[in-house]
Amino acid sequence: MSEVMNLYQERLNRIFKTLRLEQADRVPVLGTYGTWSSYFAGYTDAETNWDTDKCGKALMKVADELPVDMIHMIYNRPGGVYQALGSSAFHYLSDSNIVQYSDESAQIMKDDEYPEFTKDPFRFLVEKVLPRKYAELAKDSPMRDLAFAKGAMKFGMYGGQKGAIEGSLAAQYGMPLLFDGIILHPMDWIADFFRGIKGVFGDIRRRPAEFAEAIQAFTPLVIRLGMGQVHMGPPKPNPKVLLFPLHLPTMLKVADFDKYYWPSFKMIMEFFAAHNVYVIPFYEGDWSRYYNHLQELPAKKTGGWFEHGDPKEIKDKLKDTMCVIGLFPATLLQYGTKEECIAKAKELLDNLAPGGGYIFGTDKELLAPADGKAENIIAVNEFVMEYGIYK
Amino acid sequence: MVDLKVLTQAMSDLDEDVLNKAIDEVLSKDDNAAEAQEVVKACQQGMTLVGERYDSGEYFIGDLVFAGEVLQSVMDKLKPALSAGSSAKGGKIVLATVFGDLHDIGKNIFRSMVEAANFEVIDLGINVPVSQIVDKVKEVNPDIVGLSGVLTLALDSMKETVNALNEAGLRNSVKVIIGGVPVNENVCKSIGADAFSTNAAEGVKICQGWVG
Repeated sequence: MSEVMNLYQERLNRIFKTLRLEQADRVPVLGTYGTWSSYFAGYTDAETNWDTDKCGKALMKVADELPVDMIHMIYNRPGGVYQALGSSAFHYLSDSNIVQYSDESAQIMKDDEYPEFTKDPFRFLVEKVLPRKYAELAKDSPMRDLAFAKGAMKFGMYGGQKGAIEGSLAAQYGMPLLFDGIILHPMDWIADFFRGIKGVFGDIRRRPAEFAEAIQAFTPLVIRLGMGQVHMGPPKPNPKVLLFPLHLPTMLKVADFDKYYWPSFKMIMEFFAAHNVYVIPFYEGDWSRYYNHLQELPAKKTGGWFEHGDPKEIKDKLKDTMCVIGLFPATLLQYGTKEECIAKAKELLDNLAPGGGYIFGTDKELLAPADGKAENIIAVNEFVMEYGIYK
Repeated sequence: MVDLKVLTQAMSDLDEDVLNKAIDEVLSKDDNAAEAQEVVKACQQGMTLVGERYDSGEYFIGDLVFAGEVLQSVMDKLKPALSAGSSAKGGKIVLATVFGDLHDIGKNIFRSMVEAANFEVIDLGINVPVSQIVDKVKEVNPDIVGLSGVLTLALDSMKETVNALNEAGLRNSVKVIIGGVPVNENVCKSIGADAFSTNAAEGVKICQGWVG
């Protein structure tokens, strides 16, 4: 086996051992640099969205110049797909800005449409949501069909390009990618894309039963969408991994979390664990009031990327349940000195590394050009790779 | 006369039915300006209770978002009646989600709570250019400038805004508070703001401290 392939395998072993809550040779370092990578390579976010090859080049530069064991994912969006379908939901505010999504453009389902949604979520998505969201799909045939075919073709090409980037990263730099796809909770789907966040908080109060039924009805479809992504790429020797960004839970009170969020969440997590797929939720916000809930998840079968929380408490509560990722404050990479960054990394490792089960990473993806100073990232990651060796 | 205590409680419980019924009753009367003022006051007190329930961990962001919406609809309904009277305002705040960011949920929560605390709020909306904030500050001479954003790139815009206020010679006449997910003490210092908060109720208290 070539040196690069050895390196690739060594990194994969380190990561997956840690995910299984075994102690690897050292704490793995995950690169969570997102669209920051574009700027690091001299591109804008828009450039890499319109030209996937540039996204690949940016990731090659990250793999070449930053000390990491794994890059979390191919971060760009396929601009051509959105264009073919006539989406107006994504906004560039300036050339140097990142693409954003506004709550206003999410409000595309009316509040009295829940019963129709619940009756057949797939049909509702195809017949009601998509034409409202994508202007080209609202046109009559054959314009609509052509737009759909063009979008599907662009999406297929994008998949091919992503696969090629993943292959190049492995072959040239021995660099694995962690995530094979992304899933969303039905409630986050409804809030982010169908009703808007403000709309959903009103619906919880004004039509609680219909809202709960819609979430329940949507859950099997969300699972199918996830399994579709698992099977989209070629098989791998290690389990496939899905990112599961969780948006609303920390905005909910516990009673609402228990009623609307947790049952579907647990069902989704158990389903994928049973199918040997590692789901790694991004636990956005402060999850401390839900740690007891998280202890109920299938042990050693999931990971948890955390934004907030006391590392001691997280280790104490979750060490037997899941591998912990993240917690390093991204703003420190931007505003802190090297010494401050290293002190924080040391604190995290002292609390989270013992016995295994911790993957070093930032508390959120780096997005904007100024989100992290490269010299800080390099200093911190080098420190983790030395200090995190298990003796 | 509607029972103001019941109204305060209904606002605190976010019980729209009770609120709407009472407001319809007020609006059905002639010469209702004075009573409408009382209703607004009662709802503002209810919002203070909402803030307290948030502080105590009973309510969360979702409840605050909904509370803002409920208060807004109360004010909209009462507007015709209120125009006859006038209400004394606490301080004046120019508020914006800064350039480069479209996220306004946190800003809107803060706006509804600070309005309920009797501040006059000039909300410039989302993705607001630095120059627009500076011009507005010149025009309305506020006590406070509130800058909000969720993305880390908002921090740069906040810094540019504070710098521009400095350059325009306006920085000493206003307090600047920043809010949103990425703000913290380090960030606040680096940006040159007077205060930061990730909690709207706490932000309101800081503002009250400045004008009180």
